Amino acid sequence: MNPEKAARWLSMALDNELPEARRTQLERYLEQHPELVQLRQQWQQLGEHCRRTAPAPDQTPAAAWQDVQRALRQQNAPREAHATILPLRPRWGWLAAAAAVLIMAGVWGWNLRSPSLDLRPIALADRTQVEWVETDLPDAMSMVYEDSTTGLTVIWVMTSDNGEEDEHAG
Amino acid sequence: MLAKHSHTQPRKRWLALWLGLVLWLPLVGVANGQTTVNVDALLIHASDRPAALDARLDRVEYRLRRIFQFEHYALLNNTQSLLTLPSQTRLDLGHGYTLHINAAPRNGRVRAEVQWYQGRTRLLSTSVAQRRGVPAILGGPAYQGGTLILVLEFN
Repeated sequence: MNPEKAARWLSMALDNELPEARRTQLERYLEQHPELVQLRQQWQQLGEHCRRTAPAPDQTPAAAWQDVQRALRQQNAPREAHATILPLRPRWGWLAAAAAVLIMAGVWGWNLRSPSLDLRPIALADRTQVEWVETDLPDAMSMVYEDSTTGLTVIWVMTSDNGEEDEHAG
Repeated sequence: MLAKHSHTQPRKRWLALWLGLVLWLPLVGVANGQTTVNVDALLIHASDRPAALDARLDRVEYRLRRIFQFEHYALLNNTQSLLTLPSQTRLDLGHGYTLHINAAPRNGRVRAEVQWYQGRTRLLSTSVAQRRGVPAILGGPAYQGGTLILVLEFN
């Protein structure tokens, strides 16, 4: 095992994603590499820090109102696109049909780009899997976490000069 | 009548050819086992400084606000590229940032090695396996009193 692989396994172990056999193998490796034990402690502290500073689940009234505005706008968008079909006359035959297909494709594409607000978390089976993370920034640490409210995977770089900003990270 | 017929006939023929081509091309890709995806990268500046509501962030901002504690999110750049997997691409995110993506299909997902650069400095390098339509959130680099967030999605 090389240090990079050990760090990767360490990250997985902290997320309870490392199989038992590999966990034992990792523990044996850590006994001979105290620097990785130190890294594990740092990551554990970082995790605790992130959990402590997790955002409150409630939104501010302003943010909630923005969501309402957004939902209304998105509901109206497909209706406006549908309305453009009405002026076409049946006598145009195949041209009307082709135009309708194109407009429907446009509406479908628009809906793909702007789905209505779905506040449900992403299903477990669909969540992003992260194999490894690295950064070349000096004194920086990378971390991966899954946000429980949205189900989105966050891959984050923490640098020494952006500690204030990192307090915003969930 | 004859003159009208001779005008409309070639036009119809061209339209039929065009429609045929549009329908046929994607089928060729499927037959060859190729997968085409649209990679969509949103470079976002998250901060507590007031920013105007940007409609282009509608599909992600409400989620970001649930993850992070930033008050405002401003879109710096939206870059898209069509990829026939497996393939590599380089996206210019503007503001001196670039994204190198090496993507391939794997078990119904898109496996992508992603490298995010500022100039020649590699800010972040990762390997992810994403479902189509499920974004991955990358971020952390400090930027103008806030933080950069990169939303990466394959469709």
